[in-house]
Amino acid sequence: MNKLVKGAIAGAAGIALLLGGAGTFALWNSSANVNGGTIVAGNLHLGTATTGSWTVAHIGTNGTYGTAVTVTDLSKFKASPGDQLTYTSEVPVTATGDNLVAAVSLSPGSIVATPTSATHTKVPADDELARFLTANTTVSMTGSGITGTAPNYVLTAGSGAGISTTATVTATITFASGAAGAENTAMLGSVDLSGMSLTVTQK
Amino acid sequence: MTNPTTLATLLLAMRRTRRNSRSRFPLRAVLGTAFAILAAVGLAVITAGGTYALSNSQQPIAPVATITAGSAALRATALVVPPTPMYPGLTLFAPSTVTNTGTVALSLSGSLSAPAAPNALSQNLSVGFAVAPAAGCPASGPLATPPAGATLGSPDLKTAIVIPAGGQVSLCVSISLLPTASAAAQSQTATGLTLTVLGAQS
Repeated sequence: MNKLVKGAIAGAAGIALLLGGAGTFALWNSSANVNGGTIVAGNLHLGTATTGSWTVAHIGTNGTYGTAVTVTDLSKFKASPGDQLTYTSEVPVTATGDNLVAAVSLSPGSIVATPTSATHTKVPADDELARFLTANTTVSMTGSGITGTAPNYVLTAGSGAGISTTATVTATITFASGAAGAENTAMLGSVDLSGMSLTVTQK
Repeated sequence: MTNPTTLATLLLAMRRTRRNSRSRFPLRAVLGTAFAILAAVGLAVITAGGTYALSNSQQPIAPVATITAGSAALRATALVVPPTPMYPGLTLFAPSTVTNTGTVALSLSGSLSAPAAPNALSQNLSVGFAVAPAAGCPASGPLATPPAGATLGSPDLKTAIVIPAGGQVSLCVSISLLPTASAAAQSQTATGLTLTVLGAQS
């Protein structure tokens, strides 16, 4: 074969090799199993609340609430716009879990219009009072291992046994005081608190 | 000069390359397939669904209880105005007892509403009220300066009178014919005037 042709062929072959065509390139690889360890679920539980107490404060003309006084018999107390009712009780809290953040609130249905019964006839004012009171409720919780401000608290349960503490729970129900006559529709209304429950929900 | 051994090596390598190229998928196609598989797997994982239930707990915290709202209510005794003929500058007084029948203290104010058929007399009357003195309301007297009452079209009468819940106050209601009343008010009779005592939670 003519050397010039051979050289051309060799050059062409070399160029073809350099261009690579569509060969396969197997990169090195390796694998190893990773032991996932043991995953344990946390826990968030509220125990039975103790019987608490009610206090009431009234807003002054300067916009601040006066000194709260104890209400010994809530059924005999007549709420009016500007009143702030506070219920305080103790609730056992068990929490296990790293980085456990929970929101605290009153459960839906905690404040409802008093239904008709042998001793009460439901009237529209009952619904109005329930509407006004439900619109202004807050819940706070304090205790060992519990930090934050309403409604979100950090339960510093940590690992291992977590926390088991008795938290002080305060539910505040405010009867707002709007423009003159704004709450007239709630006069003589009645609301039922028998379903008042505390809910702690992980966030 | 080209080394024959080198050329043979090159030719052999070229033939191997050609065989390898014929027996393998094109690189682009291989990668495309791999991505498709990964995408399918990934998609399957994402859409696998399942539920993610955050921990929560609920506990009743209050014993059976109800909250009842109070009320704001006033009741006033009927007004008996002396049948004394009026003249500009004269004030007539009539007593009325206002009782707070609600559950909150009420601050009093007053407003005057026109009769259905106003006339020169009714349009020049000023009506007001104040706490009655211990001796009771006088029957009549000269007009107070400035007039301490509500007139038609003017702002409501404001007072500093506060009635506690369940309490009551004796008022002297004053009816004054303004000095500016024209002669057209003579011999007129004003009926249907309504003085409304307003109580606002204080």
